Amino acid sequence: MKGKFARPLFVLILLSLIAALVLGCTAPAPQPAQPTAAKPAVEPTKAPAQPAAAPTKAPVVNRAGVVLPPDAAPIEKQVMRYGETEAKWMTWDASVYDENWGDYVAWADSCTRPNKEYEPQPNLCTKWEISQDGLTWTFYMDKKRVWSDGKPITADDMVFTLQRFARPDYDFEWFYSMANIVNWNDVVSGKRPPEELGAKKVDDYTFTVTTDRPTPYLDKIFADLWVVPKHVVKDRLNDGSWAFDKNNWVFAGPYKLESYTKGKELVFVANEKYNGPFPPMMDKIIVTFMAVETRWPAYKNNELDAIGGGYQQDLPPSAMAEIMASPELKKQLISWPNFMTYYLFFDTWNKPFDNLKVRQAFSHAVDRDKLIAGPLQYQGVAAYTMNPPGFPGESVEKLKSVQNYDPKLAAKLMEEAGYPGGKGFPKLTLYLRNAAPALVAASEAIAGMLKENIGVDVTIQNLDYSIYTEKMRSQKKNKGGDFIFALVPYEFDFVDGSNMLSPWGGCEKGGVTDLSAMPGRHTWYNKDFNKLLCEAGAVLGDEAKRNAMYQQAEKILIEDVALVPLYHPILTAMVKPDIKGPMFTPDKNGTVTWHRHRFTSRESLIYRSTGTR
Amino acid sequence: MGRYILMRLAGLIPVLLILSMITFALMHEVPGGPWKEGQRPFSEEQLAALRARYGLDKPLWQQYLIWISGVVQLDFGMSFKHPDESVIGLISRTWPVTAHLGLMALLVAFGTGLPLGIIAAIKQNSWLDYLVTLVSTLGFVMPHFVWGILFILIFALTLKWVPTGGWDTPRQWILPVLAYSLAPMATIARYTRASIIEVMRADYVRTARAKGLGERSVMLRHVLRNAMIPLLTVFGPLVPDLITGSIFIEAIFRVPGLGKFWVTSTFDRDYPMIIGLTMLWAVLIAITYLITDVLYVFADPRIRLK
Repeated sequence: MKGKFARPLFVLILLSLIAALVLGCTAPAPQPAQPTAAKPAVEPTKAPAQPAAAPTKAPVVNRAGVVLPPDAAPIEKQVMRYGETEAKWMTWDASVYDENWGDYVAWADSCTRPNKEYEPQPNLCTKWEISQDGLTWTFYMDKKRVWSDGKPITADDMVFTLQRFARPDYDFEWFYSMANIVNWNDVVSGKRPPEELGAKKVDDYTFTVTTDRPTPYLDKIFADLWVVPKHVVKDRLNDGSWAFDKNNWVFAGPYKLESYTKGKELVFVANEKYNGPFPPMMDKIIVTFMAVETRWPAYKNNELDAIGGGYQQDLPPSAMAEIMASPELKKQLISWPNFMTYYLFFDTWNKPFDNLKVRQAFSHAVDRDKLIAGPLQYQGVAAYTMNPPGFPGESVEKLKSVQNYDPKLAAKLMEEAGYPGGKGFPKLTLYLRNAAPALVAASEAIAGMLKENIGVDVTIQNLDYSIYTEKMRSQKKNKGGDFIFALVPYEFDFVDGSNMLSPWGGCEKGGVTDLSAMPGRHTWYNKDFNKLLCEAGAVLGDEAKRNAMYQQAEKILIEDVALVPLYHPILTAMVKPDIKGPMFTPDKNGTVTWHRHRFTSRESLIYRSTGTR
Repeated sequence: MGRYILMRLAGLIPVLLILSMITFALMHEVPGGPWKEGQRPFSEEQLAALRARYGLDKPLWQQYLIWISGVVQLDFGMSFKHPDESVIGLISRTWPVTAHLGLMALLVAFGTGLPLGIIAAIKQNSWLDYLVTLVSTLGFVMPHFVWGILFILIFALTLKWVPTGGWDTPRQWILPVLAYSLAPMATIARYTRASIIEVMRADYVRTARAKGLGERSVMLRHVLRNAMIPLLTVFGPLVPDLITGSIFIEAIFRVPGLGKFWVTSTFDRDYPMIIGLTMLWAVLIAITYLITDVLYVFADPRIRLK
């Protein structure tokens, strides 16, 4: 009997044990009776289909005390997970091109801020005035704003910030130099002490900025005046390493850094001391360091909550094709035009591109529509101007025909320039700057068009960032070299008609003695263009007049074929459908963006809902 | 043998010195610097300030002397890309992760490659042999990043068994270890098979069988031991290769290891890191070859180290 029943009995006991274990794990544990007052403040949100439960539901409140909308998911779900590349520095004042996520979401807040229409709005600075002569700006600060350590954010911090930005080894110094602040260049070069900079404290919450010449867009530049805590940094020449010391972790934005695990992640949480206009809605933000190629699979696998919207190709063409083919994924896609232009440029000071007809031939030989339909699918719109559509001072419609695609005209121009069918024309190298695969493919297509339409042989060379920049710099400095034909993008820094034309010139100081010392970064020079840019920059209170002058300047630029505009990129992002909030309110053009540059903090404008958007 | 090992280690010093000089000169020849330029290039004055910040304004020979005097005190300098970490600190932080991944991949590679190679050799020209050959060829011809992407597609996105990346839990180790171990597994299987087949045809194996030794004894005592000698030459370099990481595997699977620095330090012009890694690699290779040479003595009694 023992042998006959031993095995079934053993199996039965084992099964009973497993069943007991499973039930024990899944069945609700007996709860002691609780007084009603002991209930947690935040309860799981009931489904909308159960309205009877709604009145008892407590609002969801995050750690900063912000009450989230009624449809908010429980507090533990108010987390955003992003994927980013690990950078070198932590803060805006250390570097703008190599800093980690969190610069203006946590570490700093700005003097002004742009609204969805890019108009300057109050932020740390609540109002500002310009003197009669247009040279002195007075900024009044919000007296209640504090750092996360409770210390007030003052005019001392603002003046210190400007002095700190005016240091020679700061990679974004050039941007603030556009504000024309008195003695800026001398302070940068060390010829004058920082105290002589045209930025002065008036009282604890008021400071003035004096400029060399009227600078009507200064309040727009000050949307990027990201305050630095003077009481922590102390040394204005600190290279940025102050932020690596946890004892120095002091924040002005709606979030604060909770932890930084090198090589792995940054964790931000809502800053309970933040008392500005954009209180944090999302409770926690986890930024995982990961390669750009891995973000799309991680998003699909629900390991990330949003990807894209930046300058890396989180969503390559293959991902875009997959998204466009799926109605469910398509609903999660946000795409919007960026103020940015990719263009071809030349060394117009040397042969063969010193000949306008050659440049014109190139401009008519490139079929932008084919590029957009092919390698750049979903990534941009055809460009014929430097200023993109919707940008102040743009002339997209007026100038569209100047460089239209016309292969017959292109061939004729080459013939007139002495290169019939490309005969006798030197073989060219088209230099790219650290280009993504889609742009390399587009460049190959451009090379094909140039060969087919005007008989020019072009090979592509994709250089790393430093080598490209070095070649571009030395081409201008030496007024010659082998860097005669290249492709590069330029993105707006602030929304003003002056900005996207500035790579091509600006105010000349003294007479033309040395072309290499002229403003702008390219080997192209036009005196009238510079004059228009300079004069328009000094027009105060008449935006229409300024923009008309920028239109004239751009006409010169495009007609002289200083560049061949190729496309204005479209930015794309994928955002999980349960993420809702004011971020998704369209602007006056009906556009919804996921561009964090436009706001003090995107995470102050989003929350996770129990429903979908 | 002790004297031999000491001599070999001493001989490493001039090799490292010459290597460091060549690396130092070459890395400074590449244009650019450890800074990123944005939309507009720096002016000459700004470049001068940046060079001064990183100590690159001094003549190259002076920079080298400063570096070498630090190395004598085991100070390889601060990383340019990670200004809050020394080169030694950065390697100490990331290498254990990479070594962990590499050693697990090595275990898997040897644990599967050796038996597969032996089976293929013993069952030569059978379907088993062909299957092993097929698996090995696939392991060879497909780069590990292709395997990585394929594994993510199958096991993470389709079957949802494991996450797409990360290094916090054993579940996250599975895919990178698998993807990383396939190529060395294929190498081990192929070379093991070839080496065993060659030894199996040797006269002394025929003699062993003729004198009546059992097949098991013939294989273990005569075939495998002798087949190991050429395999040591092949397997030795696999070790430093695997434990120093792969940029592709670590990037695809979000492994916070050393692998990416072999490439990114060059792009970032992180000179202290470039030369630190070069020295690490040189030392690892030298030690691996030394260990391999010592192991020959145990594998082949005819070899003597002098």
